[in-house]
Amino acid sequence: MTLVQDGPPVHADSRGVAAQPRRQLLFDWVVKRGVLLVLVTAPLDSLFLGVLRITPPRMGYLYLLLASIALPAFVAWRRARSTDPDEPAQHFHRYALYSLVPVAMFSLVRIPALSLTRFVFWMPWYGFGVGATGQPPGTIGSLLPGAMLYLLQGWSLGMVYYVLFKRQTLLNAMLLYTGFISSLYSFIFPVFIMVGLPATPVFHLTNYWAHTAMGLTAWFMPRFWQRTWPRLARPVRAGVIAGLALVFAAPFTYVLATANLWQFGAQAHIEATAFDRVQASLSGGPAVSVERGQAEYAYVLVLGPRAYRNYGGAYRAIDATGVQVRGQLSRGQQVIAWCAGDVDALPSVRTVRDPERFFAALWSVNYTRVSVRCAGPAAGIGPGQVINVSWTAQLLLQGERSTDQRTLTGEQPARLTAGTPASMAPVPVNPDQ
Amino acid sequence: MFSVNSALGEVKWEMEANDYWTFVGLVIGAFAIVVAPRLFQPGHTANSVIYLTGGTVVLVVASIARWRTRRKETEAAESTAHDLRSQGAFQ
Repeated sequence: MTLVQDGPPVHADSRGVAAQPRRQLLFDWVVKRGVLLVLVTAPLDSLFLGVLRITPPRMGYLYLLLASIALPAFVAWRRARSTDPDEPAQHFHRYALYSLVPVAMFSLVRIPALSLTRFVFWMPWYGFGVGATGQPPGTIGSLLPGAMLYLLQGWSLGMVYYVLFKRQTLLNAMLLYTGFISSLYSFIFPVFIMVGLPATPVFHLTNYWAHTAMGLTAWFMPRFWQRTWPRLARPVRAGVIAGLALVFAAPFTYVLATANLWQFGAQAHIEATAFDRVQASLSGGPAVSVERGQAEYAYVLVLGPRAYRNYGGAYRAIDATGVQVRGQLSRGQQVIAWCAGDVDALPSVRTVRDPERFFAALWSVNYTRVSVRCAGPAAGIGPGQVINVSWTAQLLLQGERSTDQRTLTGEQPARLTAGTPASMAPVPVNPDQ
Repeated sequence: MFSVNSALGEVKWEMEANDYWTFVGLVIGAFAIVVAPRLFQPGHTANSVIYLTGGTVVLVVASIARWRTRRKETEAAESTAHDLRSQGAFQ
């Protein structure tokens, strides 16, 4: 008796199966599907071992490497040993090819989202690439390895359907991809992966839409190759192969082209605008202390804002290194002190990879306080006097793609307060440390 | 080759035991490992609601499909038994 007609034929009577001891059923499931699932989902597992902080990222990559070696050996062993024609290992080569199309379709249907909603679907690819290679985000160096990892992850997500389910029905595909995976994705990405990128309704809708397309494709592939393909004439088959190759290549080609033609230029323009916004301004009045005929001053220069939104709407912060402040304090036309304040690098959020900590870190570095100390003769100097503070801050600003050496100058009258240079607030530490 | 009607015609609200328990394992396993430790924490309200809704829909639909399958199996078994009894009466 076959209850579900649209999958491979049932070879074991369900009542007979139910009569087997549960332990034997569980053992069979582990041997036939469980081990294979653990091996084919290694690209996903290694990602989540890292983002869930269960293991260091390098252990995830080691697992991926070992699983890649073990997978063909396990499949060959099961094909030699198994007598169950429903066992996924028996059809592994077919499933592996089928799974290439759903992952491409997952991205293909998201292409219109860029022009419709400015949703840049390949932004996580940079994150994967940065994690694997350490190359800076927003560059081809992180995009290409990220795309490769994304392809592996998508492939393994497609394999889940073929490995886990006995019947490759449309109901199973929709429940898996539209119901389960989309909902989990909507939870996991904002929590673990989308650094500085708020999860908007557009993100969730695109997620459901793309996973549904992926599920439909995963379900359709066996039907097409088993039912439609044998009936096709040779020229049509050649056209179908070309079409599938196009479907597979289209999203990756599109991303590479769009990154080169639009993203990199747009990002450079955004960064130039963000560089222009960075200013240096005086915070409060300088503190002065007089000792042995020498007056020491300290004041705080605030550098910022450094937060900006990149080409995909994600929040980032301009980095600044080699900060060198020089300046003078003057009263009327007379210079009363010379000032200096050097910082190797302002606190950065570049290494903050945890979305939960990112915004707190970002707002803590948006405006950074730099201590500047001055010294000069003490003659006639004391708290309450109004002096003129002038400064020149040189610093190297760094975005995702561009750097720019900037000189920020300013001048402002300020009233001296009593205090010692040691009492001034220090430069905040890197929020990631 | 492929149409929405033919696709909808393929939807059979029936499910094998293996597939049903797979869904139960996936939904509960992901909830226990990933979602529960962060459920309704600040900033995760919308995400939590989405996962709980999606997971519930999956479990409810899978349960209905499994229940329909078992009911059909029972009806088929009863029908077979009835046929066998009828044949025995004739003989």
